[in-house]
Amino acid sequence: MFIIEKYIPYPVPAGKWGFSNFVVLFAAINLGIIPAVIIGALKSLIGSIFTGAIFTPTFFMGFFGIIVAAIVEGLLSKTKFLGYIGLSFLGMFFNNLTQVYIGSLLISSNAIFSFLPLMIILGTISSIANAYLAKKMEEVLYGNNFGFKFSKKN
Amino acid sequence: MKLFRKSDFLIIAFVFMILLVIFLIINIGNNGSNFVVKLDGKEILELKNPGSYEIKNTDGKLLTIVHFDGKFVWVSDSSCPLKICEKTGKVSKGGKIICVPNKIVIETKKTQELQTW
Repeated sequence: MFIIEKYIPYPVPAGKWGFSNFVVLFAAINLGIIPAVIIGALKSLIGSIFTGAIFTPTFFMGFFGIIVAAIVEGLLSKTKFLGYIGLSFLGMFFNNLTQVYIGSLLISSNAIFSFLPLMIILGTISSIANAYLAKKMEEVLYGNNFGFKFSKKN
Repeated sequence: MKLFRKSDFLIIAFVFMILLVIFLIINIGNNGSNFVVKLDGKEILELKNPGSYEIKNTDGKLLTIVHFDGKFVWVSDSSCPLKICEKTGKVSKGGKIICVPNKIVIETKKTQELQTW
């Protein structure tokens, strides 16, 4: 998903919708913080190797961004206060904030922060989609609506 | 875990409100902008305080009077024939007033947008 979406158009230069993040969200909620962080790091590394972006500024921004998002989502999901959408939204928010912050360090300029409002507005949309995808993943894998439970002899 | 809970909506609304406040604060800070008056390409006057300023050339001849009220800038009593500069009216941050015969340009002073360290 990470690789495919690089080809989907996006308003901000060098920006992506971030649809590969739903796997990390799923992991944070259902598997725990450490698995989520590992999955996020791996998706960032492997995806960047395949797209040729490994060790570019974009890579570092995305890498730290998804790690922060995994931690935030993992910690907050423990409180059971928020649902998939809220966690996805906050994950998106901190992901983007971290990316812009790392970017500002790398180019030694605050100008990159001007991208942040648009990133958050678009990110709100994609975070809802990601929440939905992560929830679907939960349903498919844990079989609540989808699978069969044979409790009594049929 | 549920897909959507009431608290999700509250969190999103809360974050957007905070961002809106931050956005407004940043923009209000930008309105105290300064203008500069250039004669023949050289900056001869920076408009920091409201008031009326006489612009004279090196011979002491009065070219125009620049008015500044803190937000807008405009000119009057120009010595040029067409008075296009006067007809420009009031100009706010980002705008320009130009008087070609008098070689006067009034524009916003560019503040540093990029901070490098």
